[in-house]
Amino acid sequence: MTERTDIGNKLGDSLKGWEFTPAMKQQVLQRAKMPEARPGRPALRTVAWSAFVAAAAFAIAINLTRYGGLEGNRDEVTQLSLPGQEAMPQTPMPAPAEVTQDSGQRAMGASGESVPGSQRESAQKMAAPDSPLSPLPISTRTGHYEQVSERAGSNSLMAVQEDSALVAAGSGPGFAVASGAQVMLYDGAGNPLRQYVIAGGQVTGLEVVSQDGPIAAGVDRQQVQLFGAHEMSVPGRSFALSPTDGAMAVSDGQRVSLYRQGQVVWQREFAEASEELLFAGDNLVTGSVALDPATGDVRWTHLGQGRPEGLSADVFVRWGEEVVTAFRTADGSSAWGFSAPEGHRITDAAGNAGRLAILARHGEGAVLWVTDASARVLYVAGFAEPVEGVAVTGAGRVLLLLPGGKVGAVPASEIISQ
Amino acid sequence: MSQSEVKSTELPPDPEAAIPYLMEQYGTRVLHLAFFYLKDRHLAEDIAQEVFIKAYRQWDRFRGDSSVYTWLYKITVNLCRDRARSAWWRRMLPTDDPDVLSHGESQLPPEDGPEDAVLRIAQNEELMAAVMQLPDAYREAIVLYYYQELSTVEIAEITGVSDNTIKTRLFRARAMLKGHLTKGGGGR
Repeated sequence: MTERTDIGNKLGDSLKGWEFTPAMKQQVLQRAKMPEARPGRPALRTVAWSAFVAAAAFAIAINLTRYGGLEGNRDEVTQLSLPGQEAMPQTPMPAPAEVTQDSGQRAMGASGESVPGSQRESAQKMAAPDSPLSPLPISTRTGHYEQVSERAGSNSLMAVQEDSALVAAGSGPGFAVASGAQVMLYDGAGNPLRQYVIAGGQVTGLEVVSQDGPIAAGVDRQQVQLFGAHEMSVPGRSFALSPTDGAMAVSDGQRVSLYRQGQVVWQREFAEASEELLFAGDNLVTGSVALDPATGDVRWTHLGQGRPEGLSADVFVRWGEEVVTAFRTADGSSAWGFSAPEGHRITDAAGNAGRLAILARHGEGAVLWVTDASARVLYVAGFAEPVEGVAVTGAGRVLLLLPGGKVGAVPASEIISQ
Repeated sequence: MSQSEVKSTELPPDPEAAIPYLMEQYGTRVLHLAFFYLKDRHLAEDIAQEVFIKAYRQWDRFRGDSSVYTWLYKITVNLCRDRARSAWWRRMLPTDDPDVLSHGESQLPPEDGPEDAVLRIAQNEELMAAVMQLPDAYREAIVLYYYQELSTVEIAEITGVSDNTIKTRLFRARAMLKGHLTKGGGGR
């Protein structure tokens, strides 16, 4: 055996057993016959990146004081989070028990019931424009069911639950917060609208179409509970709600099922079905495949990796700990990418209405970027404390899930106008 | 491992028939070649599929001027380079793949005694690790020359540099490997 063959064999031995499988061959033949996904042209990509870099530099410059607060203490965060606004005294908020007592709120069942009007009145009273509630330091406030003014530009704390773990928003201004076995739906002003209680499980996933439309909650990653006009509970590990018609797709890891008005429309088996589902444009994306939501037929496949997240009708993203990549909904081709700086780990991303919020952990704190659908950075801010999640409402408002279950909103005035 | 040459004249004109045959012949080699570039098995699997999708779609452009495997490797190299160059993938490329260094007993040839097998695997691991640490251009030359058993002329055609450059890279890569292996106790 020659030295050359010997070295070649040694290298080959290290990869022995790892082969181009029949499943891969089958995928190639399927994908080859589909419409071709066209990657972005280099020239356009260069322009996009130049714009991206310029926008990032601008955003970083104007947010420099905030960003510098990463290592700061709470007082610094208070200032840094609210540039240009004078600190104002805070009004103590009633504890949840007080709110419940005052409003006569009852324990609510799984079907969800509207919060009585008296509570809303109470909340609106608290949110009176001249009430000295704002600005509130997002990292120092504690409390429950705090209702604050929705004044434009306020960095407000909104409806909270002590151990909230998930926040989600739909096409409207409202949002939902999940905590343990409960889901609370709020309107855009932070007024509680409905509460849902999951029987016998913890909420592990949350999707909202709108404050008036259906809400779906994953339960222990085994069940999906749909609330709304067609309530149902089906087995499944992941799910997605269509923002247009409220259809729900559910995956158990191998089979994707689409439900509309409580009925199964189609089911489709996948050899390697992803647990992540997303309605993107007029497609249902599962794993690397885009399906026609009406029929379940495959429209295109691509090489995208990471958790999918909607952004606009034309673009969706996939994100992992270090990278966010945007893809065109038309054909799955890549549009642009966002790479987290050294030492930052992306922990959440949420998109809606053409705005994308990217949250990264950095040391003990967090950094938030907001971009538009073409990768232009609209906002950058650092926070001294961890931020646990983000959501973007249909109105483009960026919500932050803060430690202790508080929800803060990025001031609209801080975001560069699109 | 030598290339089993497939003459382009023997290949069917219809990609529906040609590509399955090429995947059978070269699929695993393309997969491994992509791995040597990207150092990530998942990315390599994606790229390998992309190579044959591209070959399928561009089948009418393959005129047989070069051998079919040279053509396939060229597509592979270009796709890997594109992927590695993409700013947003750069951070995704790991410096190492622990899977490469994990070997099951099933990989031991039955004729090996336990000690021989352990020694052989240790040497293979060491060589693999050293190759994976080489700069891209040198790793490319080593893999195409030793693992894919291409001539320096073929490597030059695939990579788009001159034959002499490939020879220089091979010379330097060997020296680097020797250095790595000596430093790392390659003579174990």
